[in-house]
Amino acid sequence: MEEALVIDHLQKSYDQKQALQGVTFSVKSGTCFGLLGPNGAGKSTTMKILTGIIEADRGSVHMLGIDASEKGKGLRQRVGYVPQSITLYEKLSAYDNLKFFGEMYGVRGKKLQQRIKEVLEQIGLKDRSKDAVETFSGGMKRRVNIAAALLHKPEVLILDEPTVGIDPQSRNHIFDMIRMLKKEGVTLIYSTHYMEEVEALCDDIAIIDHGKIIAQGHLHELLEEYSQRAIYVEAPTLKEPPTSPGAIRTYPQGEGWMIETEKLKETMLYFLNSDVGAKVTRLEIVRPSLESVFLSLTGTQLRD
Amino acid sequence: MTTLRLLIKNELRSKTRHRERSGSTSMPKKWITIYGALALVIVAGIATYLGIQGETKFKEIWYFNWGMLFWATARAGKSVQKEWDNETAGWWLSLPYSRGTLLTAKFFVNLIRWVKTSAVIYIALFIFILYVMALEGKGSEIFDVLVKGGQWYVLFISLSPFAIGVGILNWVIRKSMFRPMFPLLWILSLIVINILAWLFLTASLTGGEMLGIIAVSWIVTLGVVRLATHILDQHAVL
Repeated sequence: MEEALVIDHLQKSYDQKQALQGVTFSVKSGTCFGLLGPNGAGKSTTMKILTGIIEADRGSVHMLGIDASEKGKGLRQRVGYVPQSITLYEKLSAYDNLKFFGEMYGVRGKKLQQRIKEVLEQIGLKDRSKDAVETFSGGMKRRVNIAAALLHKPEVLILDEPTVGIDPQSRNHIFDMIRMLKKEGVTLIYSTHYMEEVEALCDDIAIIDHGKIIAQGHLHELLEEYSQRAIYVEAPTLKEPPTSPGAIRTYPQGEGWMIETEKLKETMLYFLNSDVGAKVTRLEIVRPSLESVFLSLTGTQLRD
Repeated sequence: MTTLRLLIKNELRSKTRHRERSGSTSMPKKWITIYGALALVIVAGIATYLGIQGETKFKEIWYFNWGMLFWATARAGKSVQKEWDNETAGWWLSLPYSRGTLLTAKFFVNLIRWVKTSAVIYIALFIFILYVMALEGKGSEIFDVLVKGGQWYVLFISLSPFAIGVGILNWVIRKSMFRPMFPLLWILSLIVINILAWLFLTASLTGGEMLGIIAVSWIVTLGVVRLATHILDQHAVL
């Protein structure tokens, strides 16, 4: 599959602080790529370089086969950008907002009217097109903001934390939109610090921390390589950690115990067949998550 | 050219949108009328007082234009600042236009607004002077005063590109790694604008000299806008 984006050894400093320290990754065409990391990890700096808002001190960005440092202006016509903060005019209707943003991207006349109709349908706000944006919920505003970035039919859509502070309904709507765009062949670059979003949407992932990519690859590869397998034993009356064969680490969680082990089958059988001195109310293999990948890579929780 | 025209059109429209975005509560029309009428009464009172005194130096009333130059500088800076205030800076800079085009659009929008506002103020001042002159019985001087005011108006319009360019440069510097230089540059800009205005108002310059100063100021303006573009391109802190 052709690569829509190739980032090579990006470096960026602000005063004495190095925000990016040789960030390298690539994104395949027509996929959803997740850039995951805690606040201050370097996600926004990377996004700003991708969108041409700032320039890297060193390194290169090739998007859609074009060197962004040389032909950034032409490239931006082919890229859509959804910034972290909502960029809309409150007193204007959704339609008028979209008209303004479309014109700024050079879409005009009947073509623009048609595109506005299409994107309003895509974001599920066709019925509210004439209403002032100030009457919308945060999630609805965010949907309009995403629509604004789609009017010129970008080949690459960059979304910088698009679900911060929005209601679950809008979040699901945004997820559906992203899936639909992916089906249409749009390459999506999605920055977030919510792991469940990356798990739900992205094909490939890069985890960034302290300005460095600490892991990248397909979701399954990362889970396979870095996630610790574990079994959860719920036994409210069990006060001491249970002993089980092959346990690497055992720690309390909720009303039970989390047992990290490579021997899932043996451990399950052990708890099914042995008396652990208390009634076991739940026994399950814990699904590997990006949370545990991040934990194993950095030794900290993502939201720390 | 079409690109620039489009940006200018949208920038001009976005003045209203800025108000709409900020969500500020606008004053009810009734109160605007009341305050407007009050201001008119005060101005009429002052004009009547001056007219009765009979010692008004009409030509000096046009000095008001001097202040308009500083207003142009401040407004130009504000037009850049608003992108940060509205949190639209990222979006604005990610538009498919060069930074030079984006700043040039702001420059022309400010120029258009300045010319329009100055024209309104010029007409208002003319009516004011006309009224005072009528009271003083100096109707014969009207033509002279009007011509003098017109000359100053044209001269200040000629200087306004420099004032606007400087305003844009100052605010771009404020948003760059050169931010510490901002207060110094601001003071320096005000001094330079002041000197230019003073030269035009008080020094006995020939027409050729004035044209020369205007031409130099325009060339400097070009450099100022280019410098602002370079700083926004290479050294902006975002």
